[in-house]
Amino acid sequence: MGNSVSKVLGKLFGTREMKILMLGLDNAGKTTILYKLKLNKIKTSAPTVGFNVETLSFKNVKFNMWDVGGQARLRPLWRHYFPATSALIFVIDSNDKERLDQAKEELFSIIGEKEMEKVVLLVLANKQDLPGALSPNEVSDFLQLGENLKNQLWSVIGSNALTGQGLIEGLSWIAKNTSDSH
Amino acid sequence: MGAFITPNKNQNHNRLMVGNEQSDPPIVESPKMTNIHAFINDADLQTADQMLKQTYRPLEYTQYANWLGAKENKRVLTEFLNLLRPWPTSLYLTLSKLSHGLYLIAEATPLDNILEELAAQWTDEHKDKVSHFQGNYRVCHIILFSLLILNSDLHNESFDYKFTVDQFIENTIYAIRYELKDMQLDEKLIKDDLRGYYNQILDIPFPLCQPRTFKEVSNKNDYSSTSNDSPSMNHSSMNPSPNERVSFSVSRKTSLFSLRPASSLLEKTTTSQSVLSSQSEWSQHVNATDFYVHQHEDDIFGKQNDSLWLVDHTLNFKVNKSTHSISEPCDSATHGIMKLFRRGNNLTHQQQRMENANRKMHRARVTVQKGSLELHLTKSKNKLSARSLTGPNGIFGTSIIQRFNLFGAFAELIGETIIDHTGASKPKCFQVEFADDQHHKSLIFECSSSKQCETFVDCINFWASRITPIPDSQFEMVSNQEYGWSGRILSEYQEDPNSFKVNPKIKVFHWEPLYGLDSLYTNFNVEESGKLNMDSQLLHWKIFVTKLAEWINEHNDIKPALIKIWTHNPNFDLIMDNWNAKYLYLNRQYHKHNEYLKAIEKSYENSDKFPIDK
Repeated sequence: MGNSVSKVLGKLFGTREMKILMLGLDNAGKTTILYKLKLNKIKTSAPTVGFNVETLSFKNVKFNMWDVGGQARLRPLWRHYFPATSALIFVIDSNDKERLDQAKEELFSIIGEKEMEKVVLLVLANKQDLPGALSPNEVSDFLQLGENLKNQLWSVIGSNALTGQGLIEGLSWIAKNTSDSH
Repeated sequence: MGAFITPNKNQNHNRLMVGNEQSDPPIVESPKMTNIHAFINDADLQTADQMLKQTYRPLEYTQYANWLGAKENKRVLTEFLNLLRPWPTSLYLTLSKLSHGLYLIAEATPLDNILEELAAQWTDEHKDKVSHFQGNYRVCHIILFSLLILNSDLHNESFDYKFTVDQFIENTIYAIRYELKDMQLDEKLIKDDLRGYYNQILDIPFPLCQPRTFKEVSNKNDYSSTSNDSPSMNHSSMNPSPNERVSFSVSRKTSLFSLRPASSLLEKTTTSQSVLSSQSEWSQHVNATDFYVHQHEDDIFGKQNDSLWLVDHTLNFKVNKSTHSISEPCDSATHGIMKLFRRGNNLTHQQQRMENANRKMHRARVTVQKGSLELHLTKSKNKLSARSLTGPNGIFGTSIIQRFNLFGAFAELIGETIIDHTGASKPKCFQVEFADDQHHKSLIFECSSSKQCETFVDCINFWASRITPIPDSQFEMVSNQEYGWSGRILSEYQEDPNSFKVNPKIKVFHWEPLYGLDSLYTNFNVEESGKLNMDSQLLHWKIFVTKLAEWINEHNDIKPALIKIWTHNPNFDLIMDNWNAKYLYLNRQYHKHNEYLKAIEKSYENSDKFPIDK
């Protein structure tokens, strides 16, 4: 998929450079999505001890995707990177209803940061292939995005990280709703 | 945190070694119920020990951190860290020691859990020496995590916004204050520590755990034998000697597709080779047969010409530039046929149509089977020569086969009509559009009869319906973008149509479709997701086409309300354009996928006519 994604990024984003933060509880599917998107990446630099930060590059388009999980205590440490963020992808396990509250709390604690007030928010309602998965509409209702995010663009798209369903749509939506000013 | 028991290493290793000796298996006494916890701890310790030696086979050593960081493996994690004790007083050296013993590239959440446990152990060991932490492991936890971020930041090329020392200190202190609002910490001492750590990490990043050689593994007591805070343990003693080190390789998922050429839609094989050979020079390109589950019917009907499974005739054809694409193509064509497709990139749609109309037809044998459309081009008989199609390095013989994967493709009858023997007027041409890749393109074919046209169209759509995933994500997405028909506006209007007025500050967006899963030629379905099954495809197309029909009806139903709501509003034209754009898109989607559905349904009818013993 990576090769095709790179091509699409080139089409969608032109010469822009994007910094995209990807968040979500553990086991939501963040890493699967990252790997799905970066299959064609040839890693030239030596691997570095620490966190997964994946870069998709195509021409002048640079997509940085970060996995910035961890408990609330550590969240302030990521502040340093918030100001340059164009979009936030928040991944939810649509089938894990017991942890939806926790996911909601995590989402709003990040999106509520002052530095994040201009980012566009894409919620990927992941694991749509599972029979008990909540639909994007149900996820949206649960998160109460309409009530809580008055000044930010947001979107909830159903996804399946294994098949790639929803990922292209999500990137496409981000591309259409971000500009150089972000 | 509770007290941690540092195991007696000699005892542990002796016990474990006995268990590992192949030639003289130990007699193991069954655990007594009164001592069951000791038994479980032994298992945890054994796993931890194997991980330290990199002999825990269920996982690659590069995955140990993700596994240890899972909550359910906390006891093994504790044992693992116990084996690395004692911890140096310096947090930089502590983390260096850990990253030498454990491949420390992992997801953030497991890293967090590992560092929290490490912080607890470290604090337990050093609470008396490092008084400015006031014995609170959370201070240590935050600093350890911050150091790991710093290491990534300074040494991973993907981090673009590098910390300065002051930014690093400020960021870490902020997090500590945020977490420990009620504590009075001596920030000066902590800042001094942080400044020192910054400089150390800047100079020497944390070492990456290397794969252990046999010699290293056998030298098992080395892991925790370094003395506290000894500078010599830092790197020279922790890294294997050059003779012992084996070359490092990253165990990451990779794909053949990563190596395929940029112009990926076409595949070439020589006629002397098997047409669908995956061993050809272009074999890195995905074979369409990898996309679907092989059915018994494929064997029966796959050899019958003019069936849904196979059509094989010589036709006239020409390359057409698509006049309706989601976005403009880019221009990185690299070989001949792509240059052919690329011509006219900057033309308007009208000019493009003119150019398409003026293109000359070429003659080729056309075969549709197994998810692909193949053009057999004979060099000597075509002006569209093999050289022009393949570039200087692409000639394999006197003819070439070009293969188009039918993923997301769509065929339909087009053009002028002819009167057939029944007196009916039917088209004699059909067009095939392929999934978006680097170049938006389609092929036009001219058949000898309308019946032949229909057979080709059915066959192409049949295969496309079998190998294309259901692209329903964007239709079910929810967003707060206003195109003129959001639920909020419509419901408020319905409540009181006479007095309803649109908020003048509302921002209306231009509606356009998103790229969908089916618009890209990808390997989505080949790897983890498995192949598509014909029965499930039939079911899912039925559901999807039914939903599309409902969405079209819903979209039609809102139009009268939209006109009333937005008349006299400056956004009226934009709203109507949005409505029309979405209407056209939905209809196009319905038309395409309904043809998919009909094609696959037809295949079941054929199967019923010709029952197969399964």
